[in-house]
Formats: sequence, structure tokens, C-alpha cells
Amino acid sequence: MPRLPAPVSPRRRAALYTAASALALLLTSCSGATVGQVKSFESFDEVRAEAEGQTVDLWMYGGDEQGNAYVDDVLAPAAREQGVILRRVPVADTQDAVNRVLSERQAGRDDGSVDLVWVNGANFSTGRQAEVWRCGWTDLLPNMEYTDREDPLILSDFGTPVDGCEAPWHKAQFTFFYDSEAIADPPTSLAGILEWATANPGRFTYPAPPDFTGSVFLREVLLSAAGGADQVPLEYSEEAFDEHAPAALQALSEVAPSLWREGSTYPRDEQALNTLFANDEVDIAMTYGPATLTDLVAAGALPESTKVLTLDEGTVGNASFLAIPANAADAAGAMIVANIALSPEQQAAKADPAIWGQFAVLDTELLTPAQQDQFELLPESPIVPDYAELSRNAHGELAADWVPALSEAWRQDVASDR
Amino acid sequence: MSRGQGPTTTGRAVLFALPAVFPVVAVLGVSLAAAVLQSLGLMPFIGPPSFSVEAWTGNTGELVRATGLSLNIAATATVLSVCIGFLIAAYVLASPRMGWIVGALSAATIPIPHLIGAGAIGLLLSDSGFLERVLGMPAAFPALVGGPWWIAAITEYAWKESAFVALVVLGSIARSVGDLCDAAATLGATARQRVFRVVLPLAMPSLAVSALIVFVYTLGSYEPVWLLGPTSPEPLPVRAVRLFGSVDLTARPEAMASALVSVAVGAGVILIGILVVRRSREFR
Amino acid sequence: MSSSLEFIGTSRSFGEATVLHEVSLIVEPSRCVALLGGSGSGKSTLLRIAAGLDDPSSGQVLVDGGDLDGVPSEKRGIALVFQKPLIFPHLNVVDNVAFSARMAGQSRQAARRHAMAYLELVHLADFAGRSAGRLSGGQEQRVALARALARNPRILLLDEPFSSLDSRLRENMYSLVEDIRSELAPTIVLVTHDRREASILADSIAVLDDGRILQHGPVAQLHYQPATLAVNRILGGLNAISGQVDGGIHHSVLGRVRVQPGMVDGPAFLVMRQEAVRILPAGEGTAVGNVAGLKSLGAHTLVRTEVAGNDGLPETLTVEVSGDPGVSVGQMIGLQPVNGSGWAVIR
Ligand SMILES: Nc1ncnc2c1ncn2[C@@H]1O[C@H](COP(=O)(O)OP(=O)(O)OP(=O)(O)O)[C@@H](O)[C@H]1O
Ligand SMILES: [Mg+2]
Repeated sequence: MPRLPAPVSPRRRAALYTAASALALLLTSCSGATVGQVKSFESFDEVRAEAEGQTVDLWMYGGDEQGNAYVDDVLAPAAREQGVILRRVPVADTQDAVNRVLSERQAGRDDGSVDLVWVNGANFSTGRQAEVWRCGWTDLLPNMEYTDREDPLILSDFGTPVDGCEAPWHKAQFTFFYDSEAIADPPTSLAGILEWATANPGRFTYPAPPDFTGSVFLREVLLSAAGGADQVPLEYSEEAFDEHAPAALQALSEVAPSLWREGSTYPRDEQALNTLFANDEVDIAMTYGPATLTDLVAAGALPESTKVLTLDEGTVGNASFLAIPANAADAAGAMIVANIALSPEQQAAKADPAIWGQFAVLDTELLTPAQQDQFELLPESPIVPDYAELSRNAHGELAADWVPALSEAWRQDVASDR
Repeated sequence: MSRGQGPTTTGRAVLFALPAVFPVVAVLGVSLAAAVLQSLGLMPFIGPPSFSVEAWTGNTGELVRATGLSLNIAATATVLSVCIGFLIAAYVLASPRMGWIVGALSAATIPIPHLIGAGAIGLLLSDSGFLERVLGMPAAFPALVGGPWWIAAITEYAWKESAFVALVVLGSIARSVGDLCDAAATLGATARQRVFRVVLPLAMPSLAVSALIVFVYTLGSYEPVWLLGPTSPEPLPVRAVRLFGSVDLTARPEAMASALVSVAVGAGVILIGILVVRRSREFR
Repeated sequence: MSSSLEFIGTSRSFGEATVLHEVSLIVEPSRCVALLGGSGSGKSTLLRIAAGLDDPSSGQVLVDGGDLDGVPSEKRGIALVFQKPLIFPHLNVVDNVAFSARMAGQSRQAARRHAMAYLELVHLADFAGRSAGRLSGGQEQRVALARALARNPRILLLDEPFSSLDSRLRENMYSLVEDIRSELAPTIVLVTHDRREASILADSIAVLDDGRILQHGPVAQLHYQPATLAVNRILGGLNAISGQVDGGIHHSVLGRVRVQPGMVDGPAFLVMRQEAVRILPAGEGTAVGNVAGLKSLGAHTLVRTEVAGNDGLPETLTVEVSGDPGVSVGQMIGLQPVNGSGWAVIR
């Protein structure tokens, strides 16, 4: 089964949810209480002392079997050794966890049921706007020393400063892949992909924004149309949008008639795109979780001839994180878990495609030779090059505010005029 | 609905219904009120409340288009479901043996969630789906899933809701219709005439009521149109859920406006439907 | 334009239970046969088979000598008035009656005009516009009758059509049937529990018991010359006196009574209708009885008497007298058969 790469893919809830949460809000907003002072810790030893025996509820997207297995079978036992019980709470969409925290805060609960959330991007920034995260705690984690303090992916999450409000967990690299049997001479840039699409009508498409993967593609087109990642300010502003968006939207409108189904409709999400690719309806597809490709090919979900397509100008990369809500009942335990998750052993295990295949957030140069060996031992994939190659010339994500603005504009200009 | 009740009986009936009705009305009222407040910006997730009709007037064109589309899909699905559902019911009545199997199959489809149903229809009707493979016509195969005519989504509704219609109709007339059809046969009515001159008029009240339910249900239903429809245009529920799920918290008022339009249209249709059903009873 | 109806060895089983056993019955054209029998004896089943609503398990149904097997109900030209009225609830009274004409393709107007004539026949012309749900049980039955008649059937099957009418209406309906018979002369099979009704309307009576035709013959024959005790009982005969036939004479507590010729010697029951015995003062008549009970039937009274013979056990003999019998319980009376000769059956 194809897996989704990142916890932020916006999945939709039934409309009923609307009414239910509205009701919850109305009922709870009456109390209007605010959460009391967040207890802070002076040292990690203090954290350890407090964490002993706590049960940590990790809320995470539950649709990824390998991710679930990693947490249950590898991470949770390691936490148990340090006296913390780790419980995985699967959610259909990370937004559910954020909404839960928002509702609990409105209700004035300071023994929140969410201790730890796998989060990044828009959900993180939404939470920051609403001030629901505990901040300034990641410096306490001993294992932070293995990360590169200057790494832009770890310092800012989709343009939102991390400020110690979440601990890095893994990295992802947006990657195109293609059918090497259908395309002998693949394009080497995003502009090249669009040209190829025009020259090969019906053989390319992308998921419809606001799907997560589709939105990423939209932003990549924006950067490419603007002449490179450094041409567009990370911060969103209407001026920047008006300056750069039209070119991207025009490029997409122009290529639309040459897309699959003449651009009259788009695959719903990455999974739907993968299905088209596997059924030989399109020849190029894309993912934010390239490490999973090896497995998908091995399982027969994607053809043998699948190959990764690296772009000269590089692609976007991001990191995803573990955040602790300010009202978490078991914050100390959550910090212990976040620290374990950062350890070289856990990061190496997690990077093994057979276990999960998520790229490490650590800087290998800061590791001891023995620790480095753990990463050297990872199996090589015939389909996916290593992270160093995938992330060559990589750029960071634009600020989260770009995402809805671009999706809406795409919907108006590109999707509805066909 | 029985007529000719005195005011006291009606009063008592209302009193008896109160414990059941009150929680429903309370929950419904509160959530509708909350939705209205949110749509007017008076109950924001973040920031101070500020009154604005922007969610309603900002993109009226798209709201109207979504409403029209939703009405179209719901109407087509309802007409199909009612026709097919009636034919299924007539078949079950006419041939007890084979009909029993058809009836059981219909009953079995009802608990299947629409999400699963939509997935199955998608596998069946998509470009590289089962049907296309069986027919072996990759080039000529029409765009049923995600195509401009919403064929796959409407098929999904028609399939599941026709089973519902059939069961409602069977439940309401099965007891009496056999004898009445016998009587009609001895009066010279052919099998066809029995179906359309006896079974159909007898089924009319239950058809009308189930049509109302199907219409309102498909109007507000989300999964099949989301999974099987094209990216654009969007029906109301898809629009509402997309906006509600938007990472941009300020899109929620618009989501609520879409949801409320859907609720209002549904309520309006129910009202009109009840009036029509009443009317036709009085004229009898 | 009427037809004969003939059942030949018609059987019907529902699973294990056999409801009709090789029923054979002939109804001549324009004749009226009453089918008499207890509840559950298979009367309705037989009519449904004739109408084509049910198939016989074996045997045939013939109309004018032609086998009806495979002919659907609507092509048989046989109208059936069901035990339940089965008025179409979605049609008003006149449209119910006009139904068959509409099915035959007539215009609504023509069909209604046609229907009105039949509604007048059953005295319901004033109810033409009524909705079906607002009729009394008797009115419903009459609408059902009018509806069946409006089809101008060759054969009319009536399944207890008058069971919920009051006696005055019932008499009206009897004369209506008479009128129909003289005007349209359809072949009629009338199911009834009421032997009076059977006697009034029918040319002959067929007695059905437990799925078998026990006897079919003219009304008087069924009453006075029943083939078996069961027929006697079903036709309301209360008396069956056990005794011995010896040389054409039945010997019993009633004494010696001459019975039908051809009766073989041996034990036999003397059936004697309660209407065919007279009460006399004690000492007169052929037998002596002791009044054991009185039961009023309104204008008539049943007098139950114990008749003791010279040998054996006393027998009960019931006598129906009109008006006040003028006897009291315990009184000794004389009894005298009205006719000189009696009727004996073996079983
Ligand atoms: N569809 C059926 N399935 C099984 N048994 C049946 C069915 N229809 C009738 N019977 C049985 O056949 C027997 C005869 O039924 P029928 O209706 O012919 O009786 P009837 O003589 O008309 O009785 P009544 O005078 O009470 O109307 C009854 O024992 C009844 O239970
Ligand atoms: Mg009967």
C-alpha cells in the first residue's frame, strides 16, 4: 500500500465534523478559561526525574503502516527502557490533533490529552498563531548535539521559526520519478518537465491542490517560473504573491490542455497519481517520501522501470518535527521520547527502508565513527539514490501562508477554466 | 399523518414526543447557531470576533455554482434511485424466488458505507478499472470517474440509494400488494398493467418519502462526489469540507456558509416535499 | 356467452399438507353451484386455482372443454370476488369498478359510465366519488361484487361475498344475483358457509370436506338424501340414529322405518332432518321421547329429546318446530316422522 510521506497531507473530514466541532466550540467557549503557567525545566535531569512512569500519548497520522510499526516496535520499547510508556494515537489527519489541542485549550484544560504531535508546516504555524505549543524546550535534549545548529531545515519550518517549539524528527525531500521504459531521455529541470508534458500530451499530471503533494508541486512551479528558489521571498506577502504567482499559474494553465484528461480533472492525491503511474496512464509522478519508492517497487505497486528523476536546480526539502502542546499532561515524558527519537540508533533504524525509510535529521559529521557506521550499513537502493544526492541544491519551504493562497488561485485560474 | 385529530390529542402527542425531540432540536439548533456565528466571523478560532458577511458575499458566483451543481447531482441521483428502486421492488414482488435473492442483495448493500461504495465504483469504472479491462477499450473508454458528467458519483448514489428505495417500498406495500395484484389479474390487468396501475400508485407515498430522503441525503453527502467527481467544479459539501480543512483558519467562515447553504436547500426541499405529499393526499 | 367449468382430479398441496384431493366437479354453463364446506376445507384454494392465481399440483381445470393450464389469470375471463373485498385503496369507488374497463383500454369516461351501471345494481351509485378507505365492510363487499360483474365474466367465482351484509341487504343481493343470472347468465361458483344461501341461490350444492368433494347434487337431494353422515352434518342435519337395515327396513329406537331401495342389510344410520319430525302428545306417534332440552332459534325452537328403545342405549333426536313447541323439559312426548320413508347411510 502506498504510504504518505509526511504528517501534513490535508485529508478532509466529513461535513458532519463541521457541526460537531462547532458545537464543541460553542459549548466550551463559554468557559473561556486560559491555560495556567507552563511549568519549565532547568535541566534534563529534572525532566528525567519528572518523566519517570509517565505515559506519553503521541498523536500521529495513522495511515502509514511502516510508521506505525516503527513507533510501536522500535521507539516505544526504547522509551520503556527509560521509564516512559509511549502510546500511539492514530489520527486520520494531523489537523485533528491540532483541533483537539485548540478545543481543549478553549475549554481551559491544562491536563491535555495530547502530549506529543508529529507535525510540520501549516499545522505547526497554525498552532503557533494560536500559541498552543510549549516552546524553548529542545535545547534541553542531549541528542540535539548531533544536529547541525545552522541547518535551515531545522531552524525554520515552512518559513515559521522553530524557536525550540518542536524537536526535529526526520527529513523529507520532494522527488520526481519516471518510467524509464517510457522515457529514455528524462528532463532535468522543472521547466523541462513541463515542456516534456506539452510534447507528450496526456502523459503527465499532478495531484489537485490543496492536496499536500499537489501544493508542493505548485510551489515548485512558482519557484521555477520565478527563475529559481532565491528569487521568491520565503515570507508571504500580497506583493510577493502578485509578483510571482501569475507566471506560475500561467505556466500551469498553458500546460493544462496537454495533461492527463486534458486537465479537465486531476488526481485527488498522491496515491491516485501513483495509481495512474502504475497503470501506465502517466509517465512521471512525484512524492515527498522517496525512501518508500524502493518498497513500492519491490511490492509491485510501481513498475520495475521506476527511476528517480533528480533536477539540476534541486527540489524542495523539509523536516518534520515532534511538538509538545503547552497544556500536555505528560510534557516531561514527551521530552524523553523526543530525545530518544533523535538518538543516532533510532535515527539510523528509522532510515532503513525496511523499517520506515525516513531520512535522518542528524549531521553525520557530528557523529562518532561507530555511530556513522550504523548509517553506512543501510542497504543501497537501485531506485533511490542516497539523501546526499537527492538533496543536492535543495531549497527550503516557503512560508506556510503561501500554501492556501496558491491553492485558491490555482482553483480559480487553472482548475475551473477547463 | 392522520387528520381530524382534536387539539387536545395533538397537544398530548407533542408532549409525548418532547423527550425524543428536544435533544435533537437542541443539538441541531446549537450547531446551526454556531455555524451561523462562524460564517459571520463572530466565532473565530483565533483572533477577536468581528462581524463580516464576506464569507457569504465574497464569492457568491462560486457558491451559486456549487449549489446548482449539488442540486443537479442530487436530482439526477434521486430520479435514478427512485426509478431503479421501484423496478427492483416490483421485480421482488413479481418473482418471489429470484426476487428473494435480489431483495437480499439490496438489503446487503445498505450497510456498506458510501466511502467503500465509492471506492468500489471507482475501481469498477475508472479509466484503468475493471470495466475498462473487461471491455478492453482503453482509447474509447469514457471518462466516468472524474469526468464532467459525474457519472461515477451518480452511479454510486443510484446503486446504493435504489436499494434503500426498494426496501422502503417493499416494507410499506409488501403485505397488501400481493392480494391486490391478484384482484387486478382477475379483472384483466396484465403483468405490466399490474406494475404500473396497481403497484406504482400503491408505492407512490413511500416513493415520495424515500425520494425526499434520498435527495436530501445525496445533497449533503460528501464521499462519493469527492472521490469520484472531477476537481472542479465543486458541489457544496466538497467545498465546505475543503474550506473547513484548509490550513488557513480564516477560510472557516466560508466553509460554514457553504454548509449552511446545503442545510438550507435541504430544509427547503423537505418543506416543499411535505407540502406536496400532503396536497396529493388531500386530493384523493 | 357463458361457459362450463370443470375440475378433473385437481389436487393441491402446500408442502406436506394436501389441501385438495383429486377434486372433480362439473359446473354446467349458466348454472350456479354452491360450494359448501367447513373452514379450511379448501374452498378458496379451489377458486384461486380456477382463477389462475394458483396452480394445481396435479389435475386439470377446463373451460368449455379447453385446458386452462398456462393461461394467465387476466386471459381467463373468470372474475373472482374475494373473501376479503380487496378494494384498490388508491382509486375511488367508481374507478375501482371501472378498473377492468380501463385495463381493457377504454377511456376513463367510458369506463366510468359503464361502472356507474354496476354501482346502481349494488345500490351504491351515491358512493361513486367516495375514496376507498371510507366504506363500511358491507359496502366494500358490494363494490367488489360490482367490480367483478363489470368485467362481464364468462364465469363468476364468489368467495363468501355476502358474509358481512345485514339480512335485508343480503336478501337484496340474492335478488341481485337472480337478476344477473337471468340477464347475463354467467356460470357461477359460490362459496358459502350458509346452506340457506346455498339453497336460495344455487342450482346444486357441492360439499367439500377436508379437500374432498363428498357429494354434488340438487339442493333437496343434499338435504334429504345425503351420501354420508358428514354431508348430513355439513348441511345442518342434526339427527343420525344408529340401527340395522334388514330387508329395506331400518330398525332403531324410532322403530321400523322404510329406507331407500337398494340399501344392503347391516348396521346403518337413519338420517332424519330435524324439520322432518313432528311432536305429538305422549302415546301417539311411532316413538316416545323425553324432552331433554330446549334451544330457541328465534322464530324456531330446537327440542332435544331422549328416545329410549327396547334394547340398547337411548338415542338423541332433535326436532325443529316453528313457534312455541308447547313442551317443557322432562315431559314425555310422542314423535312421528313426517314422511313415511327415511334415508339411511352406512357412514
Ligand atoms: N398459501 C398457502 N400455504 C399453505 N397453506 C395454505 C395456503 N393457502 C391455504 N392454505 C391452507 O389450505 C387450507 C385450505 O385453505 P382455504 O383458504 O382454501 O380454506 P377455505 O375452505 O376457503 O376456508 P374458509 O372458509 O375459512 O375461508 C387451509 O388449511 C389453509 O391453511
Ligand atoms: Mg376461504
